[in-house]
Amino acid sequence: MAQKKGLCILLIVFLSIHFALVLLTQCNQQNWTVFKLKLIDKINEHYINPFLEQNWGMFAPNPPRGSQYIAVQFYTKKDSTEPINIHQKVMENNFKSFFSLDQRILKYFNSCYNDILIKKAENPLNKELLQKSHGLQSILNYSKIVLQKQNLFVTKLTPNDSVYVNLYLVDDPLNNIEFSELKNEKSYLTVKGIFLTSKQIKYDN
Amino acid sequence: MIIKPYDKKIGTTILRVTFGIVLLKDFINYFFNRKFLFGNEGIVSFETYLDIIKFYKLNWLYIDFTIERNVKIFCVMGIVFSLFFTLGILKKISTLLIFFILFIFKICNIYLIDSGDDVISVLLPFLLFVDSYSLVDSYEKFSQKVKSRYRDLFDLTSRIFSFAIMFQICIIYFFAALHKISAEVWQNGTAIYYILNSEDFSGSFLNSYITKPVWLVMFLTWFTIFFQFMFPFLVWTKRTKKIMLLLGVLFHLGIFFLMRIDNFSIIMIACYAIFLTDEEYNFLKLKFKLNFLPA
Repeated sequence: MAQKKGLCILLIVFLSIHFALVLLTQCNQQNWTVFKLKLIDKINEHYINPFLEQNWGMFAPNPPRGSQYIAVQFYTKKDSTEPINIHQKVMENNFKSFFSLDQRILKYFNSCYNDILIKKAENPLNKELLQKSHGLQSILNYSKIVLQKQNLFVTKLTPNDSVYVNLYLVDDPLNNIEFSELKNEKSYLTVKGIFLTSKQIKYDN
Repeated sequence: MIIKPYDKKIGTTILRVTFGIVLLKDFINYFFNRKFLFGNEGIVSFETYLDIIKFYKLNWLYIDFTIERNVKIFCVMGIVFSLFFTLGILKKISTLLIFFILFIFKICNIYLIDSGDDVISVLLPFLLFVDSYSLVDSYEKFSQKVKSRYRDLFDLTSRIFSFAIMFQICIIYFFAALHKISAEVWQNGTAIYYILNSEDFSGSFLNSYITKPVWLVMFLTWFTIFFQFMFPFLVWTKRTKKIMLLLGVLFHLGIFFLMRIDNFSIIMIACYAIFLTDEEYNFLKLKFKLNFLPA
């Protein structure tokens, strides 16, 4: 009996400590100055993350406002494609069926978009640092899949051609709810001239 | 010390089976799309995975996904153990393995992870200690026989850790509400307009109609905050519990159909299962003739 009581107390103490740490890190995420402590950052880094990551923002503080997407344009010295909206088809497929992987791909585009945006804002002129962005690297991998589907462009490639890509990060915001006549302006940010691949490596059959 | 028998076994089973089906569906999906999800050619750069492993010193969890065979074994393990988890076979081992397999997938494909994955990840460690029914009769009988010697121990851990699951769900809602309260578009009641009309979440033709009347947009925005904020307080008392759970089901069905966030909606609705006792399930079973529920 004493053993059961001991176990019960032990479990309750353990869970109380666990939840106290979870609550502390959650309060820290709220940017309340009282909880902006290095100790909580350490708890987050060593205990909560990576195994029990808790980000419950869910459309807060800023929900998506319209459409943000990435367009890619492939080119060589002699030829180029039109900018291709890589988002559009995935989004349309996502709405066609429930539980498809496309929903995750949309999330992926969004995360890559934000990562590139953050890295570009941090180092607007340093292209090398920008290329180290995981978001950019990931989108380049995705672009290689998109490139394989550009039959007209790919068939024109010669063995010595190097393929480069321009990325356009497009922000097409919604009208404001209060002033529906007012159209917010579409804007885009470009990341130009990134080496993608060469025909010799990837596309020789 | 007298330990009452665990009285949320049916709810825990529903929760486990739903999580299991979602995971099984996901791992089957990953298996067929493995070429795009793992290794050097994966759509999330392999360096991201290596950097996370390095940052958190998780070398013991490193799998070389550049080798095709490793990818196949990983996906097949995900499928097999999520099937075991769903059926309730080798529950503890399959729960533990699924936790780590899901975790490895998360760090390998960090940009593809949704909130549903996070909810499953934080609840799985608790689920490890909570008793539930196996869907395989012969295994359930065998399992009951083994557990009978330690019945009190299983009841004790199940009671404590099922409370932990419920508390964790409350934390999710409470902090989701707090994040919203501090933001301008949530305060002025327009957030739902932007969400339902944004390209990625315009999941139905109804969205544009719903967001036309400003009063409805404001109502839905503030209702979201109100529901998420009040859920952790009102779900514990018998009188308000049913209302909160019903509102929650409607709320997540709305997210499911209007925004097409399917995994997360299903997972959150499944989480509600653990808030009801076996007695309440038996009442529902009799009333609505739900014969598939265990007795």
